[in-house]
Amino acid sequence: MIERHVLGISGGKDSAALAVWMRDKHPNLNIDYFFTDTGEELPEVYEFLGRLEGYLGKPIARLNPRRDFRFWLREYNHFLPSPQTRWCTRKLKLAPFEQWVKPWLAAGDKVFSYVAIRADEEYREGYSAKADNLFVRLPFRDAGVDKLRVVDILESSGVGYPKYYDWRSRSGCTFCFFQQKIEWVRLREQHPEDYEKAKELEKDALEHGSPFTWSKGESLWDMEKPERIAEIKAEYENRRVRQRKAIPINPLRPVRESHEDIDDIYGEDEGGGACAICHK
Amino acid sequence: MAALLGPISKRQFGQNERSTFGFLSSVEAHGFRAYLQSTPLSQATWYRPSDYWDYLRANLESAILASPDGHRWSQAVEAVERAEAKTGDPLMVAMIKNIAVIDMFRSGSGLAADLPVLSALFYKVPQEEIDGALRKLASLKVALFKSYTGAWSVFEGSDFDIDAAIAQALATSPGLDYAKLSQLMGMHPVVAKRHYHETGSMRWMDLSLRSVEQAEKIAQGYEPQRGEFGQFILALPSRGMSAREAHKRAQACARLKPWPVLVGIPSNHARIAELSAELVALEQVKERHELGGDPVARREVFARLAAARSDLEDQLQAAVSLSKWHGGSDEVVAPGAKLSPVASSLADELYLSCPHVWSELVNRDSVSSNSVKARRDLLHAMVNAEGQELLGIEGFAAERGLFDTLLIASDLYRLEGGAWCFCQPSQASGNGFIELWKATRALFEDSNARVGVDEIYKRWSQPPFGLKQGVLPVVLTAFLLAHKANVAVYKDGMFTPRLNDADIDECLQDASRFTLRWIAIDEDKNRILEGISKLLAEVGEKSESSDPLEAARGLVSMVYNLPEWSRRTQRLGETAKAMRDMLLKASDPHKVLFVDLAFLLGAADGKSYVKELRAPLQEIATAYSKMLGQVEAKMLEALDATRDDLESLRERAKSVAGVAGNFRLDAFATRLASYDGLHESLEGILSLAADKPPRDWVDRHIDAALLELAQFARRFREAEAFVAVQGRQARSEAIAVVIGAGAETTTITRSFAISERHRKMVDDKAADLASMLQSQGLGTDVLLAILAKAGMKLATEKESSND
Repeated sequence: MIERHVLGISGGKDSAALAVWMRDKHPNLNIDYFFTDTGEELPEVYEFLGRLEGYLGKPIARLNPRRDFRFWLREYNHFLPSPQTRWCTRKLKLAPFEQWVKPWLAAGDKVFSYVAIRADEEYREGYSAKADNLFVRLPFRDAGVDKLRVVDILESSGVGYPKYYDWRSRSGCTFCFFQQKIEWVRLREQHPEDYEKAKELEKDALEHGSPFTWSKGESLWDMEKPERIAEIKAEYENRRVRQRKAIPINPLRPVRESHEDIDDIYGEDEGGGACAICHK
Repeated sequence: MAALLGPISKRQFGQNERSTFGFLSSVEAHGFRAYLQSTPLSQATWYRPSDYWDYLRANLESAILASPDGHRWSQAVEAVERAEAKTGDPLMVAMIKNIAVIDMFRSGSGLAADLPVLSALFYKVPQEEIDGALRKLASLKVALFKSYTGAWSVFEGSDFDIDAAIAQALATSPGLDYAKLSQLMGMHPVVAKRHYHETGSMRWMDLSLRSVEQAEKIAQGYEPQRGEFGQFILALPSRGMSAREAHKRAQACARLKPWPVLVGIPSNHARIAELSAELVALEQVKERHELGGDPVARREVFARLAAARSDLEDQLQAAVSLSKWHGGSDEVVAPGAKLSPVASSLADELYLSCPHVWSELVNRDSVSSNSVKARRDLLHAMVNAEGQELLGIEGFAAERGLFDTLLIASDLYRLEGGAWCFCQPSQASGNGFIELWKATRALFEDSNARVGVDEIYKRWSQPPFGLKQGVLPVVLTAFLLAHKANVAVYKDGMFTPRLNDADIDECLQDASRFTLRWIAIDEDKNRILEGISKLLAEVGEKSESSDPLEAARGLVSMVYNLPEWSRRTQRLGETAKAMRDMLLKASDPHKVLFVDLAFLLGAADGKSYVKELRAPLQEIATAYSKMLGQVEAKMLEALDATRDDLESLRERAKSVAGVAGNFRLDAFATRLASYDGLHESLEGILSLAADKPPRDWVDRHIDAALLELAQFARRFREAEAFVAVQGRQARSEAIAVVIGAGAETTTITRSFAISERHRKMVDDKAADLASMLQSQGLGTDVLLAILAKAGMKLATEKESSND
């Protein structure tokens, strides 16, 4: 029986660290890396994937290059996805993965999927296996790798962080509806053209009667008004200062300067239920 | 009087024998004893039925409401309450109560509330006053004199005057609203049943009620609105229009083309108009807010509405069969004919070339979501599995049914020349498909023009084909596959080399994004295409068939499938570069192959074209592996290794891996340790060097990678030296020297041990030498270079003396 090992790369730090870690600790495993491309990724993600591929020395398979976000948007009558109807993850992340491993599973191969859930995270189903011969493995959890170790792994391997971590805490689509308002504001600063595209999508969706806007309760058109931007930034700064004060100091492990994690600041566990598939 | 009432009431709702005695003896409010006790003698008159009313109301109302008399009781209560509300006159209130009680139990007692009885009850009141009170009650619509019993009773209706309201509605309505009327009547479309049975396509004509004027307006420039293919119009002549004139005008406006509009004048039109007016008026009356609080009137309006409606239905039914239908010609459909056969023959005429499709699932305009999925699966199977007998469909899923009904029954997918393939319609496909194909080919008459898929769909939906929306994509895909050698597909104006399932999905979403073009190929072009096909085979691109267009597709898709680097690099010959750019930008195979490329290659005819094409094509195809080869050569040179002896390189790498103390160098060594000289493992190393896989490189990455490789190689060799001295005895001093400059200079590596006893001498001599050199006034760099050169000299001398 053939054994297959797959590891999904989301473009975020955890999955990248897992890939690096697996390469070092289990160099004998022939792991197939994959990245489900939604067609709406930040340019930094592609750049990071290139760096990672460089380190791994193996190409990362890009799944669903043809049916991208816009295809499914048309298929769903121009209704934007939302936490309630989250078709984007289902169609753009899960379905291509299932399709990809389907022939192997059908042939009776054992497929091991490695998911980057860290030891310091609540247990969440990254992906619950639907087939008997698909096994989900959580190596970080088994080896007790936590957030600081992840940072270590990435930095010492020379792969480093994805560049967007300077201003945003998640991988995934440019217009991910799980992102905080501050991230929208920063998206507009970093990639004004992507912000414009998201605006156009939203306008189109509203014209087709979609009940959802990207960010809860306000349209991107409202959000980009200067006074609103100032408000969002001030609110974020307040939270950040408060959160800094609240960090307990561990005398055994001095606090290191690292990227601020926006989800930490909002007290949410990695994107508020956005879950492993998009943002790991 | 009162004594009379006791037994009556007992008989009426004698659910309880005691009620009479209870009435007489108990102390219930308003009972007989209560009356006796509360009424002073001076005011005593009689215990009247009105007092009995109060008694019943106070004590037994709930029991009565539940009895069969409940309905009449509630009407009586309503009447009494209305009277109480409208007049304060105690006489009138007492009077209506009396009437109510007597009237209610009339049939049991035989006593009627006629004038003598009422006068007797109110024996003290003058006759005129009683008359006046009764008249007043009647005008208040509380009491009613029923002439057929000669007695008064409570008014069972209400004070809402329905007739007046209808008259008012009729007066204010601007005329008959026929559209609303048709809607009210729920007139059903006429289905062409025989046509459906014979062709598998359900078609129908609308049946509507109009005025003659409206019929004329509709018939003028009529277009089907909601899936129907024609109209039956029952036209009602307006008042004062003679039957002769009406028929004449109907004859004039009715037509069969482009869409059949048949106009009939019903012989009972006067009655229909009358009933229609009443119906519409009643509908308006029904909505009046006064009725909200008037259940009696509401009930009556509803009853009349139902009556009017059923009357009208009868009349219309009669009208449909009794009308003379005018069809625009002199022929008149005889009265009494059924409409469905008429619709069928009209459909037969209009949809003369309708392809027969026997699928209830998709041969319709709106397809259920399950069928949509089955159809999608079928379409995917069509593009992915042409050539297999059942298109690779296993079992009997829904798409298998569609496959049989749409593709096998129509003979569009059949065994031809020993292989299953999509073909032009045959005789077995039926006239409909043959004509459909002919008409579609005619759309491509101008080979320079592109035809939109939506345009094709439109043509197919119109007469004489009338294909339903649900089957369009299937027939289109069959058409494309049957003619894939000649039809080029463009999406958003861009040439699509090969149709795949994602294209199908996008076409299902929005057909207007796709356009088609018929490519005509002559002798000379054929030669070019064959040549291209051969050339593609030479560079390892498999071409599935010898179809000319297939070869053109192969050329474009070869360029598209090149690694990113080959698509961007400037390190190509001029012709090759120009050709690649042209193919990458190509949106039209016809133009690029026969116009642009021919011009670029300066080829006059097919033969020289192919000859000129060979060199640049090969250059493009092999550019990537050539580039990899160059980089590999440089890397091996820097590592002081050769391709012929990779085994020793792997051995060296194995000893270095894991001890370099540097992640990246370790990764480099690990990769070298399994390096087999194949493209894939080379790509692994190069992608590490440039932080980017080589297929995604741009030219500057080559230099970056070479630089990084040189550094890797130097550190690799340093590490090798380090490994060589590792594990020596602690008692001897190990010294490793690595001398070399740049990646290409020969590097000398020596390691040797100095025993304890030589140590002192080594230290002294080294100090002597250093001070001697320093005294010359030279810089440290120069000194080191001198030492290095000297060391090299010694090492090589020793080597040659050893030999």
